[in-house]
Amino acid sequence: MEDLSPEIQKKIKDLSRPPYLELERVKHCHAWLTELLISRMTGLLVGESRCGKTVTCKAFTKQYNELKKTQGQRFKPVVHIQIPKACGSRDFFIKILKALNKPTNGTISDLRERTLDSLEIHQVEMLIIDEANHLKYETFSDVRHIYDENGLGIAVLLVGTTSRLHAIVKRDEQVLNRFLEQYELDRLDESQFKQIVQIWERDVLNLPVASNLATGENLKLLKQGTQKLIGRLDMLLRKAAIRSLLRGHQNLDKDVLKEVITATKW
Amino acid sequence: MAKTLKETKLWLTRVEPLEGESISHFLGRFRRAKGNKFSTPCGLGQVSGLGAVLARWEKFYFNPFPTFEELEALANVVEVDVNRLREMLPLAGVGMKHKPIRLCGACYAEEPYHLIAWQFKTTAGCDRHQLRLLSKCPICEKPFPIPALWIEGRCLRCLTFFAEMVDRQKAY
Ligand SMILES: [Zn+2]
Ligand SMILES: [Zn+2]
Repeated sequence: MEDLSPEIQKKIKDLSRPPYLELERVKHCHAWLTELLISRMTGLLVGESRCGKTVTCKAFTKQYNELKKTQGQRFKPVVHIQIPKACGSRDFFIKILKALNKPTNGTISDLRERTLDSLEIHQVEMLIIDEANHLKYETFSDVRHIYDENGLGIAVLLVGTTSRLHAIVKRDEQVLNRFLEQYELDRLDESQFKQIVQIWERDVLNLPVASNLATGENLKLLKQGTQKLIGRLDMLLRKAAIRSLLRGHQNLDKDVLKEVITATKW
Repeated sequence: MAKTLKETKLWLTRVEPLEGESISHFLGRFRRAKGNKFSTPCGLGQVSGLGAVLARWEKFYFNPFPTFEELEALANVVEVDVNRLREMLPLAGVGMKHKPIRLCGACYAEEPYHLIAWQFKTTAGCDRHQLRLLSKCPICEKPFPIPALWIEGRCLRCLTFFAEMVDRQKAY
């Protein structure tokens, strides 16, 4: 790192963090999320793995909470949690309590009561349950409890990979009947993909010399390597850009890109 | 900076201490407050780093006497000043009964909480009402539970309300 210029070092540092871009598809999804929140409804957000669901939810959470931020007050309008594998009730409550800066010890009934009370006290308007397909079957009764609780009036969003989430929701008729609204984050089509590669090159990578990623062999390589999934694209490009810079290139080098694609197992 | 520090603290619900309230009664109210919910004193003990000490305080066992550091640790989580917490404990040099739990029904009828002064050895009666304190339920003779557990304000066996017990208190 030492022999690189400070500008390049800073560039590498910036590239190590996931970017946030106001893409049309993200804006569209955020509009749907806002509507869900305002109407205090329940919904499903589905899409293939690595299509950008989590990034989209995190960005929405951050933006909405910033917007509603009142100084010194312990408000958290949107709570986004990521569900670990085989998640039971205890872990589910602990995730919410952590997000609300609450103690996470005690009996399961302590945790349940503390969670429901805290959702109200800290004025939570929407709970986003990411990787909801990892919830154990029994834990869905706790999810139901949250949106059935009179007076809470919380919007609940389940997020997950399309097929897995559908399978989970269908198991429980009670859940199925309540999660009718669905939004699907699609795989990108040809022109969207090309456009996003261009945006990424210009706004995220922004390297000293053009890499022409959205043309010819580069574009083909990227299409194959990412299967047009935005999350994969982001990871590949940032990784390849960092490696190129470390090797002293002024742009994203095609050979490095090939190398990264070959080495990446999804 | 101070603000950031404060905001990284746990978001517990603050409970306002009452005039002359005993620590046991205060801790019970704090643990049950909406959004706090610790069904046992160990839960709050864990969060404050005080461990089993809190369970002892709820029973008025103050031997060894609470140190400043311990009170500070508690003050941090309940967000009540250390000096204010100190007022919920017996005064220096005042002998303290941890058993039986005592009560003036007339006081309780006015303000439903347990006063630390009722547990002083020197206290024989209620000066305000000129009544002797009760040391057990005057109806069924069951001892009173520790104040941390005073939720409904009544005897757990015969269900008589503490406030109604004033009729059985003798003059002093
Ligand atoms: Zn009295
Ligand atoms: Zn009784």
